[in-house]
Formats: sequence, structure tokens, C-alpha cells
Amino acid sequence: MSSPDTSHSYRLVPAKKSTATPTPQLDDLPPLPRWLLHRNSNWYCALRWYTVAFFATLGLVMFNERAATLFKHIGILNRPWYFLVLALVLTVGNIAFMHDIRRLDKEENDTRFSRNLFVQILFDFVVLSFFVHFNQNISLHFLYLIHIVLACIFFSRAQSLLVTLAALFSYSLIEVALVRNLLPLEAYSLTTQLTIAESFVYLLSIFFIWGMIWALVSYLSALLRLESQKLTEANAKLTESHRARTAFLLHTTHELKAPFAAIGVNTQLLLKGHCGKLPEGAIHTIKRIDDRARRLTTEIVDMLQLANLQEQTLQKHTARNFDLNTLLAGCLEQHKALASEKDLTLRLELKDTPYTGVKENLEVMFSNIIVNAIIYSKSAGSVRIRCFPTVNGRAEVYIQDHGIGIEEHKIPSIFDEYYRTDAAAKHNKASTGLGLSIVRRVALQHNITIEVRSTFGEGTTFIFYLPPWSTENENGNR
Amino acid sequence: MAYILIVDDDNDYAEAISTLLTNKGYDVAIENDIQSGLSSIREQIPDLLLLDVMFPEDSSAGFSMARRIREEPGRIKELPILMLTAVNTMFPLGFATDDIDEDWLPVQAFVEKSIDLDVLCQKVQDCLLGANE
Repeated sequence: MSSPDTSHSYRLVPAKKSTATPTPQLDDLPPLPRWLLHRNSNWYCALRWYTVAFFATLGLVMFNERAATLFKHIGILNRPWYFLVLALVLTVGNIAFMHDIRRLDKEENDTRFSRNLFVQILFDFVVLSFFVHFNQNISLHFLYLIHIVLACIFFSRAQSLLVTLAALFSYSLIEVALVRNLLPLEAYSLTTQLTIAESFVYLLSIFFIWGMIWALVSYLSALLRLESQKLTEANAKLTESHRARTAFLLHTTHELKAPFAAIGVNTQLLLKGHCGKLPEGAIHTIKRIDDRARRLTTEIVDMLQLANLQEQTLQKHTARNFDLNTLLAGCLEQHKALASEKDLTLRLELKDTPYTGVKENLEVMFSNIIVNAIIYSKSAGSVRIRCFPTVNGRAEVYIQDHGIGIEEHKIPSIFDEYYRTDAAAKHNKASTGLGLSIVRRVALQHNITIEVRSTFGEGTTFIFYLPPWSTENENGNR
Repeated sequence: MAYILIVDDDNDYAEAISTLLTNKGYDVAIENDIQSGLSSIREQIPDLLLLDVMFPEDSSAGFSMARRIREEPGRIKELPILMLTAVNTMFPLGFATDDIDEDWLPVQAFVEKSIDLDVLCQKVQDCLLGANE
């Protein structure tokens, strides 16, 4: 009898090819995010304070007879107490809304913020209806449009339509109340001056205009929100893609470098005699293996660095404040041993130079130039490095060697990938030809100008003109 | 003689370092994964731990192990750690060795695997001396 199968199984099923992503409909858009609703609620309350100030000032000014006459000419009746009462009502309402917003801050419920905004708009309609009807200037009716437009921005199309209908309703309600003598006669109403048919036509035309404005503004607002949603989705995909790329880069670097680290440490063991004495021929061969492994490692790192920098131009950079002086000193420290081997004198004139930039990338850039200055210097020569601030957040860095130099007609090509002059290739067989491409990429990222002055056989100076870090760099526009 | 434990999934590299340190007179053991490394530490606390960063199942397992050791009771949490990585600290890990602090990465030193063997021996000596102080 066979024993029962207790193995676990897993099936890899090919994913179905997805059809094109459905285009979100204008009426189907998600509500505004919580932080935006919160901001809108607060902004609306702040706007209301200006209205309170306006009504209170109007009311107080109207106690002056001359001012009252002036306002009467433009259709605003001399009713100072009405305006003061309106200001008071708005104040009480605003305090209540702000208290509600503070309470909602502690809750996670986004719909309550929408409700707060909705109630604010309805409250304003009531106040506005009284203001409009107690003044003779009929153009004030269009103040309702401000709220209709705001509703189109804050809410969905369906919700903003409700607000438009609420505006129509509150305006109509006041008109009916006036016609039926439910409100004091001294209150102004255009429709009480017209026949019923004329009033009907007048109201219909207002409603038509409001309706057209609702349709236009709500449509444009929905289009904007649709674009905003697409941007948000694209940004999320980009962030995820960046995360995946970084993880891939890390693993790729490790998988490529680790074997060479193992080769390198074993060749070192052999060369340093840890496995017994070796014949000369064997030592020579192992040195070639070690040398080649080191060069390949350097080439792998350079290639990955260049790929990473090229990709970084599409992403937001993380700029930090630091001192260029300290950064350069750190780069030098890394290559001090190499400089000592060549008996080079390092002449440093480093001043405190505060700077903002992507520190890690600038370290790579200056490190590459410094190591070139050392490698291509003649023995017992000197390398001079200067660094100082200039004006308005700018800085300059000079790195000068007295090495093999570069022929004038070849200078423009030195920043090309894999380019090496014949003299450089003979002098340094380990060069990958990518170091200055990396320098160029970082300089592009930071909008740095590099000047190269060189005399073949006498030496080269690299001059870096560093501008202040700008928001264009932050947005990855380079 | 000091006892050094190497925890690294790359056995070729670990064996080479073991040969080097054994020739220098140290007593050396190798473990190839984090769990075996922790068990070995609990059985016999080494004088120094040489710890790799990336392991097959977790690309930052070495960091996690270092932090875990600092939470162990008794002498284990004082264990000096020298971290090794095949991946350059600046690229693509994105930090410099002077960015290391006790809270973020509680190790005594952090070096790349391509380091010169004499320099590595010096680092080992420095870590052991630091522990004795």
C-alpha cells in the first residue's frame, strides 16, 4: 500500500494579459483626499472672516449719513443693523464650523469633512439670500455663482449639482416669501415689481445661466481631477519602479562583485605566501589573475554607477547641506595610500565651503577626478586641490596635477564613455574609460560647469564652477 | 588565542579569510547562514564576529543580525562585530562608513570584501583590542 502523498505543491500560473487600463469616467472619480478637504474647509472659514469684516465695516460706515447716501445710489439700502446682524450670524456660524473642523481632525472619517463643507455652503446661501434681497442692486444675485463654482471645485459633479439646486431653491424661497408677504415689504425683490409671467421668465433666465456655469465649471473641474488622478497613479508606478530598480541594482552589484571578491582574496592569500612559497612563474600568473579581477570589479562598479546616475535624472534627488571642504578631504583620505605609493605631494587649500547637493554623487565625482590626478601624475610630483565659496551660494573647486596631460584636440572627447587617450591607456591599463562619463553625469545633475585646462606632457587642471542647488535639480529636470 | 567566528554565505570567501586568520594564530570557525551563526554564538561566544551583509533570503540579514545581537542578554550583546560587504558602501548601499552609529548599525567596523588582507588583519586586531579595553 502506497503511503499518502504529503508533499506541498505550488503552481505558477501565467497572468492573464490585462486589457488596456479602463479610462476612469468623469463622474466616477474618487473624492478629494482628506488633507485637501481639510485644507478647503479651513480656507472657506478664513474667507468667511473677510466677509464678516466686510459686513461689519459696511454696517458701521452706514451710520455716517454721507456714506449711507452713497451706498443708496449703488443700490445698497441704508440698513446698518442688518449688516451688523449678518456679520454676527456669520461669526457665530464660522466659530461653529471651525470647532467642527478641529473635532473632525481627530477622526479618520473623510465624509464628515465633505459634510462640513456642504453645510458651510448651505449656510452661506441662507445669509446670501437675505443680503441679496435686502439690496436694490440686482447684480448681487450673481454672488450665488461664487458658491456654485466653489462647490464644483470641492465636490463631485452630482454633489455640485445638488448645491446649484440648493442655490436655486433658497433664492426662489425668498422670492416666494416676499410675494406672499411672509417677509417685510421694505425688503427688495425684483419679482414683486414684475408680473407673474415676467417674474417666471426672469427667474428662468437666472436659473439657465447658473445651470450653464455649473455644467462648464463642474466639467472642467472633473477634467482637472482626472488628470491629477492619472498623475498620482503614474507617480505611484514610478515610485514602485524606482524601488524595484534599486533592489535589482543592489542584488546585481552583489552577484557580480561577490565572486571577484572571493577570487581577489584567494589570489592575495597565494601572493602573500599564506599557502606556502610559490615559484616565480606561478606568482606572475596569479598577479595577472588578481589584476584582471580588480579591473573587472572596477569596471562593473563604474558601469552600474553610470546606469544609476542616468536613471537618477528621472527621479527626485535627495540634496543635503554639507561642507565641500570636508567632502574633498574625505575623498583625499581614501586615495592617500595611492598618492604615497607615487611619492606625491598633496597641496591643499581648502576653505570652509557650505554647499547643497547630492553628497554621495559629488563624492563619486570628485573622487574620480582626484584618483585620475594621482594616477596620471609622474612620480614625486604634486597634486593641488583648492576649494572656496564665491558669491550667492556658489563655489569653485580646482584639482591640478603635473602629470601626462591631454592633447588639446582630444580634450572634448575625454568625457565620452569608454574613451581613453593612447597616452592614458599606456599609462594606466586598469582604466575603464567610464570615470569621466560619471563625472559628466553628476555635473549635469548639479548644473556644474567643468573647465579643463591641459598641456600635453605637463599636466591638467579641472575647474568646477558649482552653482547653488535649485528646485529644477530637485524635480529631476536634468 | 582569540576565537573568531565568520558568518558568510560565500564559503569561498569565508574559507580564504579563515586561512588568513588561522595563519595569524587565531582560532576560526565558519557558519554559512544567520540561524547557524546565532546558535554558534550562544554555544560559544566568540571574541570577534566577522559578519556578511547580504544573505540569500534577505538582502539586509547581516544588519538585522547585528541589531539582534545587541538585544541578547549577557556578554553576547558586547560582542564586537566587523561587517563585510561585497557591495560598495557608497554605491549602491548609499552610506559612508562615518554614517554608521550605535543606533542605526551597531558594529565596530564596516569594510568592503575587496579590502587588502593586511588592512583586514589590522582591522581585526583593532576590533579585538577595542573589545579588551
